Amino acid sequence: MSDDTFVVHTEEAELPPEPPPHGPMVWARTNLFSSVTNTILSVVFGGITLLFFWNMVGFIIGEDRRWDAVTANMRLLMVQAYPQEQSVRIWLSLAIILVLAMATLAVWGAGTRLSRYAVGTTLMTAGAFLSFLSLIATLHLVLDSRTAVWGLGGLVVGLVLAGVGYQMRQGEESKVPQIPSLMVTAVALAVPIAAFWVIQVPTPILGGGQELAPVALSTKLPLTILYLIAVVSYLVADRTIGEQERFRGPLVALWVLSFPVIVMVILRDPIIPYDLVTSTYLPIGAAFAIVGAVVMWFVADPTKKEAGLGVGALIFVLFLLSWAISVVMVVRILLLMGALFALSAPTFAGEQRARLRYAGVWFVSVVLVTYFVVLVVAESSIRSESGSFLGGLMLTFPLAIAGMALSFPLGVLLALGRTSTMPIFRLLSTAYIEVVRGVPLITWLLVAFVLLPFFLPPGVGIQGVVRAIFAVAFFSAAYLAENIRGGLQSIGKGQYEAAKALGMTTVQMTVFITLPQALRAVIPALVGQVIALFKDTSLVTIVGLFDFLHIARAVIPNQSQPFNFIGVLREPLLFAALVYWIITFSMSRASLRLERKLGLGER
Amino acid sequence: MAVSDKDIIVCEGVKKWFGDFQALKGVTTTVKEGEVVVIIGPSGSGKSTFIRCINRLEQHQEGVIVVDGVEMTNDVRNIEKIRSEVGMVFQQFNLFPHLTVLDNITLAPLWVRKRTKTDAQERGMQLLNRVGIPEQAEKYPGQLSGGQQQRVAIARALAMEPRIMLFDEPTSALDPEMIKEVLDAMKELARSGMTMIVVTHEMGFAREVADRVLFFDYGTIVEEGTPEHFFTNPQHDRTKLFLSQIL
Ligand SMILES: Nc1ncnc2c1ncn2[C@@H]1O[C@H](COP(=O)(O)OP(=O)(O)OP(=O)(O)O)[C@@H](O)[C@H]1O
Ligand SMILES: [Mg+2]
Repeated sequence: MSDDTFVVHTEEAELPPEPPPHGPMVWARTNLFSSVTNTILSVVFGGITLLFFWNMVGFIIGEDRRWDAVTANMRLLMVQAYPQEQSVRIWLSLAIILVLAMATLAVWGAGTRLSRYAVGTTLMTAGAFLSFLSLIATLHLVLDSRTAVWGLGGLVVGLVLAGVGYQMRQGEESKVPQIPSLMVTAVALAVPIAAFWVIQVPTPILGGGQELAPVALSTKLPLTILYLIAVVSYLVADRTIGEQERFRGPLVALWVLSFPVIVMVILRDPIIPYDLVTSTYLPIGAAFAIVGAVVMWFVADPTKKEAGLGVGALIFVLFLLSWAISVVMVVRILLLMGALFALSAPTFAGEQRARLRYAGVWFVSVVLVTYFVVLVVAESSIRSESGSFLGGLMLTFPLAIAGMALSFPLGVLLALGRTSTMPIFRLLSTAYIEVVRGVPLITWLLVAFVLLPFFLPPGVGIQGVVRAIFAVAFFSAAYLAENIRGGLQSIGKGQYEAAKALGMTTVQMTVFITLPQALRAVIPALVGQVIALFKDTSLVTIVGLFDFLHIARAVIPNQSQPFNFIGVLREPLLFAALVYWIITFSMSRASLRLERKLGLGER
Repeated sequence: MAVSDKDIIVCEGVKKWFGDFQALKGVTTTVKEGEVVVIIGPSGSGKSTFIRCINRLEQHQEGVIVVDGVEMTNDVRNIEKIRSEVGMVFQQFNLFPHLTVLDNITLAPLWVRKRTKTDAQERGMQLLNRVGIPEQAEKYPGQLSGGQQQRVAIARALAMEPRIMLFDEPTSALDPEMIKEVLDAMKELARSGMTMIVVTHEMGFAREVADRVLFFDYGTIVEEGTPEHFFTNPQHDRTKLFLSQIL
């Protein structure tokens, strides 16, 4: 190597490093127009996309669109015929759910921090998309020679958003994660809330035609209050109980309790039959609670392993015998519960404290179950035309949640049965799964409504919604079981051997070692299952329940009073699709977060 | 290394088949309380199968195994009770990946031994100190090195306060630089008087701490004796061949 090459080399090394080529043109050249084929494909698909948005926006803002059919029926879509003067019950339920949700976010420390750059990118994308749509809308409006105020307004808002986003991305420190993600969510949600106070929506006029009018106060005021409740309760929860593990257990318990309380007490408003309670339910519940507590205390003794199994088997026989005689349903339910409690006593057995706690858990469970049965037996004070107090989105959600809550334990049991070493369990589980999966959900719904009454013991009548819940839950459980089985089979032999070598029983091994790992491994599949179940609830329309989709699809297009919406189908359907999409998309996003969070513990 | 005269494990003519293949062809031996027994032998000779029969992860078909006075049969009532007296450390560690290190250690004491939470955690931290990694308590197994994981596995087994410890090639899956830290933990345990059965290829360990060495081949004990006898004056041809290959 000669001397001058050496000198030149040093000079080059002293030049400051250049940034790599970037910018929209570079991006387009490498990603869209890198080759002839690529260019042709980009142009063709770009054209198709453009055409799609052109037509879609044109449809949405078309002059003869009946969006007033959606806005005028919003109540119907959400809660069906729930009496208007009782609306406060619905708002109260939502408030409870929100407060619990916010406390959960705070206690689990759910939020992360985002960089200004990331938030700016999202804003820029959203702003650009909004400007794009508004531009198309403006063009449409101008071409139809209508006033283009809203289109131009959208365009300006979109450009401002994109500009703000662009500004946020500038600067060295913009890539440091510093903005709390929950604050971003809060601000993002504030936008639609604020919009309710500003925008005007198509509203029908009595006697024909529609006009733009502000959103009704009875909608926007409670929504705004709910939003504020959410923000405040998060802040309060974050300051007081934030990220303390000891609050997790109670919170889970509150969630479990909240569902029956909201549906059966707040929304249903039962008329408690006090004479029946004092004559039947109180004595039965008290007898089971007290006698059972003594029995549970007795069998939760670690030295009496056989006693628990024996007592459990005995109670189970009593449960079976109870079907032969006529007793109130609650007796059978409590007997079944007693059998399960006694059988699992050896697992939770221990010192005096553990035994007392076990008896205590039994006592509380009996009280809750008896109370719940009373609630079910009681008549509801809410009267509506369809005969059910649940309808619209307020039927879809309870159906999905209760269906999922029931199908989950059942699916776990089936999966364990199918992977069990005991042939009888394996055979029964496999048979159940194959039979249930082999028949469409619609068929099971019809079975639940048309055939079930013939199979049920006399005197057992079940309400429509409950039947639908069971049909959905039993159906979903079969699919869940197969997913969970996949997770169970992915667990190595070493895990079972390590658990056994430590002296764990099969139950302990399942509860603490294999099941948690199996469930973690199949979270994506489970979320897919939840989403599928949520959408499948729309099938209950076949048995005459008024769910969200049914109202959009069949009720609104048949309305002639007080407004005439006969034949208006496309607008409500599009709206229903949008709502389903927003809900399921949020679920899948939330599950992504959950996966990432749980991923920490993986190997 | 106080070896008492009390027999804690007695095996007589233990035979075990996998299908038609006979993995154990009549194993007879006795282990005394406090004794450290090292098992060596070529691959496939039945070493793992034998020690797994002792805590009944495998079931033998013929012969007698008595652990701490209880015979291992099909209707052992409290198999969990016996297993909780016999700790086991595996070649592949087999830690529970979804639990933190401390939870791995305290889980069985909490639910099998029914300890209180504070008690179990206190004892778990002591054990982590003993194996030299108290600072790893809140991590997950996947975040530890192989040597650290194996030491957690030892602590986990010890947390049950077992009377016997079984080790199945505890250092075979480790990188060379981590073997020592695990062997040191095992040596310390041997000196504290624990009854141990160790399957290993670490001859230095055998020489230093074993009271007795068993040489397995083709499903039987071919030769047994003290480490001195074994490494200076082996009798059997197969023992000589094996030792010449491995030393
Ligand atoms: N579950 C099983 N099914 C069938 N054969 C098995 C099973 N487990 C072990 N064997 C066979 O039994 C024999 C003894 O196996 P074992 O694992 O006890 O050997 P080992 O002495 O521990 O060998 P290594 O040093 O390779 O671990 C081997 O031939 C093996 O193939
Ligand atoms: Mg082996």
